Amino acid sequence: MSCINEHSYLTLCNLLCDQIALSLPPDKVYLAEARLQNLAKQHTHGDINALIEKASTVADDALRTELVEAMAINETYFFRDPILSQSFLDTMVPSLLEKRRRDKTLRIWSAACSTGQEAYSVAMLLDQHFPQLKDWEVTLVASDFSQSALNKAQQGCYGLNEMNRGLPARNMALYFEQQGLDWQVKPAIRERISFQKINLVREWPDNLPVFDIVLLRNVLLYFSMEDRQRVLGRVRKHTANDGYLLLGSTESLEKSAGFVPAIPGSHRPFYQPA
Amino acid sequence: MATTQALVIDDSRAMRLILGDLLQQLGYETTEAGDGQQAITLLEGDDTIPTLALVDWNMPVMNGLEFIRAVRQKHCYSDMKLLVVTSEAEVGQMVEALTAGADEYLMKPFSSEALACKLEMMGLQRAERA
Repeated sequence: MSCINEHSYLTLCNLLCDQIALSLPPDKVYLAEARLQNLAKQHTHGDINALIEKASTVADDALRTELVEAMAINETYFFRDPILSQSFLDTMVPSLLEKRRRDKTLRIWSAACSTGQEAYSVAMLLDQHFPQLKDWEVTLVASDFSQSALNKAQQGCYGLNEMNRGLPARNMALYFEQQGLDWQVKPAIRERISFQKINLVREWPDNLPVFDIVLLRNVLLYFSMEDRQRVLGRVRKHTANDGYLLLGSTESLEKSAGFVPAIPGSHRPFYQPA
Repeated sequence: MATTQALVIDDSRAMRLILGDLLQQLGYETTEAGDGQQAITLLEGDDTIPTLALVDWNMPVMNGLEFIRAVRQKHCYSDMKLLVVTSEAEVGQMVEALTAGADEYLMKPFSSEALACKLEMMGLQRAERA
């Protein structure tokens, strides 16, 4: 395996920061080498430095996209952290059912959905626990910057290891069908989700609505403080005044972020606009 | 704090060793049985009821499904959590196991993380295991 030199690593860090606001720490050279190895074999005879150089200089968006996607963190699994189910079941949806009872609309955004497990977890939660929503207009948008992650999410097809992580057996039996060795989310659930390509640090679609619940989980921790503030400011504009923002279980927001804890004094990572 | 007990039921000695090792890393003290009948005999001969049993599906003498049905008929074992750990990956079998009284279902092969994840889902928090 070729080793990444200092110049190429800096170029890679700048590229990732520019494209997806990912702040790659200086001690992750080994990670970059492992993740870019295959791509370098395909494009530059295994030379990772040449790959980085080519992706950062040529007018080849496809290669740049491939490189950025190879470096992206796609860690996700079904029902990640109990806070997801708890906040939906105990607080957010019961409260919104009351507040939106006239309009009967509910809009949810999984803003960095990766390969889709979070969005499908939400769809399953709503289906199982809130049958009254069948009469409502429920919009569930799931977005990611990575087209390859979105393709997998849209297909809703998962292998054994992904199925074993976090998904209750009951849900597996109810909402999935076997496709050879893989399992696919049944169309009735898949069709409830609208997948869109959105890069949080680039332009957002003009028609992106205001949401009642925004899931922005385990994303902000990879951003610089400046990008974090910028993204949070835009998320605030797309969160209803009485809506909710849910972060990852170990994340929290500073006071200036425009959101306050949904339950005062609680350390749970879900918030409401200030 | 008393160590939490787990019973590993699998006809493969290698699998019992692997599962036992993983559970010990998670704070459990384990006992083993090679089939459902042996497991029943172990349970009946001991005053301590394990918190958890990991149950294989295909075993001689008494298979996993028969074991689950037998255990769920006895009130004294109603708190024992049952996790089916099997290479059987048919939806029908999964439903059969859950209907019989299994709490969760883990398909082989699996990672240690997947096992830990399932235990969390079954309400077996780390604090209880420590």
